[in-house]
Amino acid sequence: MSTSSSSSKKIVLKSADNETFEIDEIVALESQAIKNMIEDECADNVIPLGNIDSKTLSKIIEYCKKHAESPKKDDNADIDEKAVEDLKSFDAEFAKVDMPLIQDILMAANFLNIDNLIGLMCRTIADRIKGKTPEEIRKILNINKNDLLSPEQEAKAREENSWAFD
Amino acid sequence: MEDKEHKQCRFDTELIDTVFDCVIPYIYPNDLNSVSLVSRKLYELDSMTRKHVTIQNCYSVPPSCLVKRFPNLESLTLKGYPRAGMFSLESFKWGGYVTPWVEEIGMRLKRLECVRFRRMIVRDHDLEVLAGMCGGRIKVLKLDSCWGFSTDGLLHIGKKCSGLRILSLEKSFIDENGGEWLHELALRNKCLESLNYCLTRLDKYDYEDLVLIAKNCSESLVSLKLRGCPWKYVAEVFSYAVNLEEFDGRPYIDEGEEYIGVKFPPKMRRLTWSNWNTLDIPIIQSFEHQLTKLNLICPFFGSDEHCVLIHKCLNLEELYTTDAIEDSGLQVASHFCKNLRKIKITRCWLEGTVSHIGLTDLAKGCLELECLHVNIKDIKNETLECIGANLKKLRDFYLGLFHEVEEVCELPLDNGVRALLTGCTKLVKLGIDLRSGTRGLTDVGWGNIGKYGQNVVDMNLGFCRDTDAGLQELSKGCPKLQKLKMSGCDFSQQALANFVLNVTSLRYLWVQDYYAFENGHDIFAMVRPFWKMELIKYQSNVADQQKPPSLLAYYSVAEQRKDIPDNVIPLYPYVQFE
Repeated sequence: MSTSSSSSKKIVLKSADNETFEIDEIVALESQAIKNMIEDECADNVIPLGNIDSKTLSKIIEYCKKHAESPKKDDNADIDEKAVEDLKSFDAEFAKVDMPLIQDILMAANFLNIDNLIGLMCRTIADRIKGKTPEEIRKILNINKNDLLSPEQEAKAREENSWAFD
Repeated sequence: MEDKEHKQCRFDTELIDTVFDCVIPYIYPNDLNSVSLVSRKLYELDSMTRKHVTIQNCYSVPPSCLVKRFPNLESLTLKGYPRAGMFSLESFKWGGYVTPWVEEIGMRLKRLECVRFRRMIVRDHDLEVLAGMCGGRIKVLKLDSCWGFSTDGLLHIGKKCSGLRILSLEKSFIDENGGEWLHELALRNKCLESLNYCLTRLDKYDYEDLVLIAKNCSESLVSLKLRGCPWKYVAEVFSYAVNLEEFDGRPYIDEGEEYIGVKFPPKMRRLTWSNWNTLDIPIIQSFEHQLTKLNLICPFFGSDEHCVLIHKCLNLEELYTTDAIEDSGLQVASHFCKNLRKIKITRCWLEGTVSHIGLTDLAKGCLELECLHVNIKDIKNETLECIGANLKKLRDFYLGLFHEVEEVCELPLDNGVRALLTGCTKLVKLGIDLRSGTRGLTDVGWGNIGKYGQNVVDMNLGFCRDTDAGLQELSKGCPKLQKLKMSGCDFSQQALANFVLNVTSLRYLWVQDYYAFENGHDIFAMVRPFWKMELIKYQSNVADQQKPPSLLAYYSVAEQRKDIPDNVIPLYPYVQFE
């Protein structure tokens, strides 16, 4: 899974499961963390990402590629609406994945410091739990039984929520 | 193997925490309560990050509980009195003191910037404490429909809250001891965005201070809502407040002055026209194309004046007026005000001439309406059907029928209500106030509200009772109902108790003038843990105006309150008075 455009500088990312991805530097710069590494010249030829698996990393690269190719808002105040719409529908499609992958992408985006992607994943999660009951949200987020409130704590919080706090 | 699993699990937990840290600011405010119950981590995160809380009933929770659970709150809205009690404050004592709240929030909530009290008793000392403890960081102070304080209390606010952006005293009863409070505010504040004391009695202040505020806050001032003020000063205020978008006041021509034309600030878009002169219409017309809000609750305005003004207000989003607008005015609005989101039509007590015809026109023409309150002389099922068919965005609907007018109405409204609720699926607030002595809704109608009012949270039903079976039918539905207020619906005690037991989402019940209270003790069947019941008697000096008591019942995680006045009888838990 590599991208080849003749002259531009390449960066190689290596996933936790040792798969390598060669991408244009401009794509890698979508990540503030990688950008900092490159600027500080502490990036070798290959950047190892020991906590991101290849499935997640390839999704992230897909996202960064699309966003790197799209005209930036601050470059041009009146970029055509079509580009904005195009990016919007790409984001919407991109977010149509299952919850574990969304969480993986979010954690990786957080690590790589990709603001737009963090926002997109967070909005997606917020949308999926919108209007749901606590029990439903637990299922959606796959909450571990050990992480629940004690029955007493939960009852107290539930009473406060139901009767007092809006 | 076990160790590896354990490690994997711990790893997951840490990562999941990262996810939640990121996600919590994106959660919709309405979902925060549910999210807080999901897990320990989310409970803690919500506690530490929640910025705003509204408490609908100040006795539903102790102040200590609020500050412990949400120590980083930036904004708090607190409500007290039952709304119906506000119309007879002299004879209706209840409670609702801000004192215990002010002490707790002032001391513990170190990030508090916005405080809103509504329908509560505020003392001068409370304002002094609040100004003393968080004066410097308070940006918003709203004391709306409050009473118990004077301009002496406001003086503390004027002196210490120099960072105030919004000060609202709307509809509050304030004892006036002079205008020094406004003078201090004018001297110290450079960032006021909104000053509102309309519908108060405040007028003993120096108008020059108003001008000074406009001068000092000329960039920031966006909204100004006052009482009467001479034109001369209004003109001067307008000349400084270049960013003013909203004005509500009653400018008048002072003795010895001549009428001067006034130039409104260029961004003016929200206007209240009260007690003005029809001569002013041309001034308004010069900027009516940019008006988004118009309040025409003015005794001198008839339908013609409404029509003249409204037909050019193409961008109008909010319209507040009386039934003097008449059907013809509503027809004009429905043709020209396509962006109308909110309309409230109250009673002007002259000749009520808004009928189902005007309401039907409105429903056909103003498809963006989210809030529709109307007092009307007659109604038909067809009209409600039309609303259901057209107003898909409606969230708040109130229909009041005049009691004393004997127009022929097509009652009962069972089918109309069904159509309304089936069509307006977003409806959260529903108010239906019909005419005494008529059967405005049969039991079937009550059942319809239950069955189709799937999203209704707040309901207000007046003079539309049939039999106890209706309340029973209602209780089978309304899965989200939190607040029910009834007047002129004298259901039996047993029926009320059953209703409360069936509707588990209910947290607040108000029964105005509850005649049936005298009949037995079945009301106690609704008792359960955390449920409080109070009987409120009106104190009237006039013997023949004795009204039956009202019943207020609500859930509360607080102990029994200690500030119960004599005329309030705590039915449950019962308190022995010493």
